[in-house]
Amino acid sequence: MILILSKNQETTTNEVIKWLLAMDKKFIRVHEDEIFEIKTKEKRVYIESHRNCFFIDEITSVWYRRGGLKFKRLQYDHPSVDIHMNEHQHWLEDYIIKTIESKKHINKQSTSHVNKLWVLEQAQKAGLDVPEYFLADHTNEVILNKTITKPITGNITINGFGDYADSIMYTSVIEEKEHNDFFISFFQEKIEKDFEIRSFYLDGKIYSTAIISQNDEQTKIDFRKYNLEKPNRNVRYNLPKDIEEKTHQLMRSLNINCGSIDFIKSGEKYYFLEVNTVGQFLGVSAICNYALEKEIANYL
Amino acid sequence: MKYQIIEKHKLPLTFKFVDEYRAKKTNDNKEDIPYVKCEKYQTDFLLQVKPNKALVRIL
Repeated sequence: MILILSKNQETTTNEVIKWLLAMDKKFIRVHEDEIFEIKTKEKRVYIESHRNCFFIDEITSVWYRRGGLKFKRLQYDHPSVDIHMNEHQHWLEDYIIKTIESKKHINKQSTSHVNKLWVLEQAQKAGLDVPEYFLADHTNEVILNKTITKPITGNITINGFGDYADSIMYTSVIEEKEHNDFFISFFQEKIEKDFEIRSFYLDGKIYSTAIISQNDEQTKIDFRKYNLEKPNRNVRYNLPKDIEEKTHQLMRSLNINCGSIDFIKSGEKYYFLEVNTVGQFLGVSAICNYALEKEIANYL
Repeated sequence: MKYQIIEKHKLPLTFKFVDEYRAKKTNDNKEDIPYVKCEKYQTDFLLQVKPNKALVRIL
């Protein structure tokens, strides 16, 4: 039985499930709002939510996409009993997650959320070129028009704020100095790119797509500012073997075996930008005919 | 700055570059949302895709 940890509204998961059904593989899909209780029956452990109920030893492989297993934790009246029972419940939950993560898996709940700043350090250690970066709460050291800023968060959207529509914090070039200090922000050297590369990594295999975004003013700095009238051209691309090997080392050091990785090609150099473990890949999968959703279903 | 956010603490500079990426929903009429419940895929949000040609024409 395959366990899929995802969200109720997640298109990529639906596409992988289509392949699982075609391959006649059985699966359980867990949504983000499910709270599980840990129970036992005849010396076997099972977990139960309002949607699902399954024995842990039935699970043969796991795909951690989004969300994660959450557990109901009881609170006790007496503080010292509560401290003890809190730890007791913690270790039971930890046992369930560790047991599940020890199965064949695509990403893990415990390691899937990566710190962008830490990833950049690890990428440098793996020998990848990384554009110079720094953190600051002012623009004194910022070289105008040659520095970008972008969020360090995984979620780059601001939804439902006042009367505004759903919005994104795109990567943006700093064109003017700020008079006032701000909250610590991430700055990085702007690289003049030949083109962008988005690579999908799955268990050592890399599927790359060149995104020809540099000729369009709208997509020049951030290709996600999609030009729907005249979309960027996306083509299959092979990264040099040494870049693939360094990427493989990086993913191993981060303890993740699946993710979307962004590069910029500039002259002879391939600059590493970031890894996104929960990124959308259906678009490049379809355009480049990679059938990545089938690869995931195959792996599970 | 497109967004005029007044907060009690400072915000990162990224807030200066927030941009709307899809039109604001004008009503909460659920019939407008092209999703259906689907037991097979175990989701309440299967995107409904309408064939762009009548089936008889494809046949």
